[in-house]
Amino acid sequence: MGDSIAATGKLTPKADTNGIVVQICDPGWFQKNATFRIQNAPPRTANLEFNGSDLNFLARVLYAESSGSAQLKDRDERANEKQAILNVKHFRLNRQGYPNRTKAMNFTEVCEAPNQFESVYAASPKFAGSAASSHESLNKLECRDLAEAIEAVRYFIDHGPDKELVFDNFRGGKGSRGKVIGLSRFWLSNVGETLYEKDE
Amino acid sequence: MKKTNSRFGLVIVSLCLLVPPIWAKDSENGISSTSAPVFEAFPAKTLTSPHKYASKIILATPRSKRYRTIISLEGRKEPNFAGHYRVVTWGCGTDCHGFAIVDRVTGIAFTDPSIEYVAGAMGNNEPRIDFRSNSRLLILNGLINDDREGKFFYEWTGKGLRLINRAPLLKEDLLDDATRRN
Repeated sequence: MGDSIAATGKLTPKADTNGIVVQICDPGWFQKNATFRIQNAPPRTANLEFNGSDLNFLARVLYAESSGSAQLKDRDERANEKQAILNVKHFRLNRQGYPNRTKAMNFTEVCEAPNQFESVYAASPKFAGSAASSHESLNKLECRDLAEAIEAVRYFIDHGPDKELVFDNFRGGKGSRGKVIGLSRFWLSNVGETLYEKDE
Repeated sequence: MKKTNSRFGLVIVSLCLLVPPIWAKDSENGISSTSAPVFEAFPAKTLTSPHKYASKIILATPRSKRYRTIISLEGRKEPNFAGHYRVVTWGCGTDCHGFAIVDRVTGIAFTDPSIEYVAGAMGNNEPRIDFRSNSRLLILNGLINDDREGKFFYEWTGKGLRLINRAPLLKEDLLDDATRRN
């Protein structure tokens, strides 16, 4: 992916009514009402449509859940970690078990499923900071991290899931379980493996 | 002898009727257990209001230092546990939750050395870390450190968490017959 993940998080100068120049973050959001389908998707998700609002929400959660540039210096490693997380979320689309029988039919529903992503239901400071009412005041590094998350979602939509990244769970931090990508560990649960064999 | 035995039996039956059970039916989240501790059985003293809370958070354990940003930010909010404590939670992946307990009076942040996080189990959507502002009971539903699974009942002693009961975790069977392996 390398250079295709552009550090497009721009800080745009804007003068307020007192003539003071402030920098605002413009991370390159998806157009809210545009619709998208995942390219090269399996039958389970091939007919699902997502609007820009849904993908923006996905990007915000990805920004909150993945390693930022302050923690993980290498941009390619950050991009790889983001793609792995997106594959986890794609795995959970239109599937039971995460955590119950309810199937999530878009990324917002995946992310808002009970207990699944702490950053969402606990409104972590990082997740809250990327909201429409507050993202403009993100600093340069945070803006760039948010832009990378949006770009990662764009890449995922354009290319589809990666057969090398069939996971349904990830953890941050140290541990023995799972494949390490970036600063996170990824694996496919036993139930997930059975569901994968059934569906794909 | 018979009279003594029948009187003794009558006393025992009377006591059982008069004394409220400590382990009562827990109908939280629609799950019942005849041996589960309940929040009401572990009441916490609340501070008289208004009360001055600590302005500084003291990170007393290695894990609290590791998660200093979230603990320092969230630990200054209003108490939400056991009277004057604040439970601060953070995510560590999919259905993965770490937590600390901050004493809002002293500012000391506590983390349990044996609980790095509690992870969820597929088929169960109970709160992973369950607590009340007026109770000393704290319940973990899931897998502690992705290792031991269950419903773990802890009493907050003021200095630490004391495990008082453990029960199996109730889970929906998500694999229908068509997907089961033989």
